[in-house]
Amino acid sequence: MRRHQQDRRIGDYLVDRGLVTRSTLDAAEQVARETGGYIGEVLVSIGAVDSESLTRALADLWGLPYVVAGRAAAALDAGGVDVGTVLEQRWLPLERRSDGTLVVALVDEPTPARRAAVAAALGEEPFLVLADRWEFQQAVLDRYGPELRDRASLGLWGRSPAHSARTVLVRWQSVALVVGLVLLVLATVLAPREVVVTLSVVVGLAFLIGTGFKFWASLRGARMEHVTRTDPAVLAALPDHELPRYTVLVPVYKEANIVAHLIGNLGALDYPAHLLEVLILVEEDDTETRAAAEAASPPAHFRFITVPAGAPQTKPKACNVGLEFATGEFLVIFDAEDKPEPDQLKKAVLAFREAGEELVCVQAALNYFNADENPLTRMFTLEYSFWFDYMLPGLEYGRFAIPLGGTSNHFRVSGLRRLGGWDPFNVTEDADLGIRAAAEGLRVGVIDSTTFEEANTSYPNFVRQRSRWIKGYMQTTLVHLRNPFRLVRVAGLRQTLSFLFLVGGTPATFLAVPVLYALFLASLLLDPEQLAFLFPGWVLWLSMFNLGVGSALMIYVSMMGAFKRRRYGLVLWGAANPLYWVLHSIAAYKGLWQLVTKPHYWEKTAHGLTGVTSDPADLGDPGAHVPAAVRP
Amino acid sequence: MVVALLSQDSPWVPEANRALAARGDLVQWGDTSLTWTAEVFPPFGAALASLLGGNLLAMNLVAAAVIGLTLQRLAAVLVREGFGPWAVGAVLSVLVLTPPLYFLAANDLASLLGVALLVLALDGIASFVERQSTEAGFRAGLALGVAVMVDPGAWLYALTLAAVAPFFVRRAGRSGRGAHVATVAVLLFPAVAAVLFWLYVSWWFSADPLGGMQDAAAGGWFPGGVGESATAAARAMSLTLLGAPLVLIGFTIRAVREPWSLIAPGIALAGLYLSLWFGLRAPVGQSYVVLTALYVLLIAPRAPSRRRQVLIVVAAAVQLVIGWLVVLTSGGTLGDWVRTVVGA
Repeated sequence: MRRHQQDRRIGDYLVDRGLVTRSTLDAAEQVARETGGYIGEVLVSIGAVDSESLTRALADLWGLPYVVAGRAAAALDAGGVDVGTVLEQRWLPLERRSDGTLVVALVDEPTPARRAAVAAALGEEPFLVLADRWEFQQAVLDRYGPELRDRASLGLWGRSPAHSARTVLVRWQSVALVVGLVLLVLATVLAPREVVVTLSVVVGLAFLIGTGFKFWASLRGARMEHVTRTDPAVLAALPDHELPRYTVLVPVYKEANIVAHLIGNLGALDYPAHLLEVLILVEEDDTETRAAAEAASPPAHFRFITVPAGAPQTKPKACNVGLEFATGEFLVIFDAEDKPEPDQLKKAVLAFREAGEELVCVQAALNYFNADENPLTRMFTLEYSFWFDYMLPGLEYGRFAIPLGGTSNHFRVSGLRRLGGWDPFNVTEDADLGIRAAAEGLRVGVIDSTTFEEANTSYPNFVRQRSRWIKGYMQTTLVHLRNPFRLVRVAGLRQTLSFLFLVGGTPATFLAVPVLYALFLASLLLDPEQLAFLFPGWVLWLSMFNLGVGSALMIYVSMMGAFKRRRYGLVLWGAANPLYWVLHSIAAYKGLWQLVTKPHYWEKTAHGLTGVTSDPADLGDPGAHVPAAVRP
Repeated sequence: MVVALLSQDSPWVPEANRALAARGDLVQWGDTSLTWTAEVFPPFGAALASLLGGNLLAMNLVAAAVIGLTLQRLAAVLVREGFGPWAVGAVLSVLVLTPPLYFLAANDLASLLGVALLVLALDGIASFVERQSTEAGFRAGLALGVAVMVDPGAWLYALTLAAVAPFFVRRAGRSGRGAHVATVAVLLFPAVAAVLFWLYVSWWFSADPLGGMQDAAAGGWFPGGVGESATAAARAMSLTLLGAPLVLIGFTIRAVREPWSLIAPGIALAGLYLSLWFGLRAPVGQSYVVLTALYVLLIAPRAPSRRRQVLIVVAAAVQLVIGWLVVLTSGGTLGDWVRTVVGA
């Protein structure tokens, strides 16, 4: 009742001041009633009034002076107030008046409880002023930039060094590596044939187990085909007033050419704008992208967060900064070129509601809108169709650890903060976070919604991107194997093994590809007797099994992935997988080299190279899995 | 199990299982030379025989287990489709209470495995078409892939499948450019990949890479000539169908009411016919077992009324009687086997 009266008071005040018309106010009040939103937020979201005017009106109503928070962002000695307190309690000390009184900016109503909390935190009675919440964020960034950068960069490492990839190898791992290499060299000198055979067995077994696990998980995933994760009736009946506040993070860097698209893409999301907060995370030195985004005139709920400069300059660091400012109950990451299906956020909300608190993240499927552009985009689409449509549902079915994909991961913000956010030193921070969640006894799920992205069209760009992913998998493996016994104890043996097969096995397999291919080519040219010394007895059988059955199964599941997506033209391209794996192999060696030379370097993937727009014809069979976002 | 034990004690010689055991003897586990690879085609059956040490009783016991699993699956399908206990019992009795299934189990493990895999594949294709289930298509493709490595005749089912794919692709909800080719590809890839890989292995290690495949038609291709063989195959198929009224009635009703639903059984019938025509090894009783399995999986009515269940029970009883009459009066292999095994 009180809330309703206050909304009415604010509305009348805005009408009296001539800021909105009565009819607009009535319409906004109805929306606010139906959605449980605040009248001010609704008016701002529909563009009836700007945020600053609203704040000025609220300041008048609440009897506080209005202040432009950014103007007083110089250093201020307000002992004991750190950025965590500022962001959590949403007040910011601005300056001291000539009489020594501390001026503190609020963004919410100055209730007696809030006044008391501020005074208690400061140890003195402050002079309160009201600031616009977006200006407040900027002022916090200006004031606490270095501190925010350090929290974003070193937060996870500071609280749990064992979970951070800042250190590539911990002491015991370094010792084990050196000892292992020395033993390998010695053994090679003393018994080269036995060493080669042993390595062959190790590689063969790794390939066999990894392939078998992927195939098994894919079969499980295929069985989930007819499972309706989100009941369409429940989705349709979901009332707006039951929707929580949602934060969308969009980290961008050097993407001036495409950043304007995101406004259209994310603008199609079916979610009340006043409950949606889109934070575009722009690096401090990337003025070009910011200018391009601002020039596109984003709506009121799109805001820019300037990520303070400093190493490591990575996407996870930007996301950690965004997380500091996130006010949503849930949060999702999208890339600038992403086209999520419009109801994706609502599906995620339902998934979280139906599960317990242990469900910390749900991953939407990723697929490509430019699949038919060239052979590379075709192969990429085959791979993603298999991975997101078969593999991840299979892993979820078996309650295995799920390495998250780059975007469209939806988080419960409280759980994400509990996990410590992303590791800015890990170049596949998403995969690492999925595994970390499993290692902490939390769960990652999937939702049946798709985000369409731009597939890499350039081979060098692909190798760069893939080398980062594979390097990240290596980092993630090393990080989570630092305390293997704890991992088994907390996550369980099944989770640990699945993590090893998937995350550890992937780089290992691709590193082995050139050797395996060389042997296959040799087999075409040489007599069996000439290779027999490398493949004694069962080693030959293992290798032949991997060659015939393992490779064929991996090709087959990728064909089935494309078939399920109704991208029929891609199905036969599945047979080209062995060539595609060569590209992965090149990327794997590059990733390994970088792990040694520059482990935290972020190989930036160039976006906006495609000449294809999101035409429905590019998305397979019309009406099948075509998202409404891209239908005409 | 009982039939297996009776078989073992009888003077009957299970030629097919002996041949399989002989192929199994060629397998040398862990061997590096692999010169025998071409000769053991199709290799899975040979590998199984080798693992069983060529022991005929062990082969019979494995066959009994396969029968158990297959019957359990068939019974589950009938119960799921709303058949009452009498109708389930009657339908299964035409398999369980007649000699062909046991003859197959006691004499030809490879063919029995082939039939079991064919049942899996057809079940998958039916779901693929009727429920538009991609997963079922996946399963069907894998089952065919294994089947061609067990039974050379499976190739004909796979090829028939490819040939009729354009007729069921749209029905399976697959439309658009490339849908036909893609459907054929996903259903046949495992079979094609399996055979190509075995050819590669045989080419690399063996002197005669195609030797095993050529042996698939032991009596020669198109026995008696192409025309003669076609007529003989048609006659054999017709007689089998006439001896299976349960199947015949179900087939006719479906042909009138839901012709599309006959795509999958049509594949099996075409495959059966082709294997007889080409002269591929077609053991006695195989056609009867395949037809009855087809009835359960693909032809039987869904949720039959009480009246229709009575009709099913009657038809099954007639089929049972015909089955035994044929066995006891025709004097063919099946009759000889029964008489030998029971010592009559």
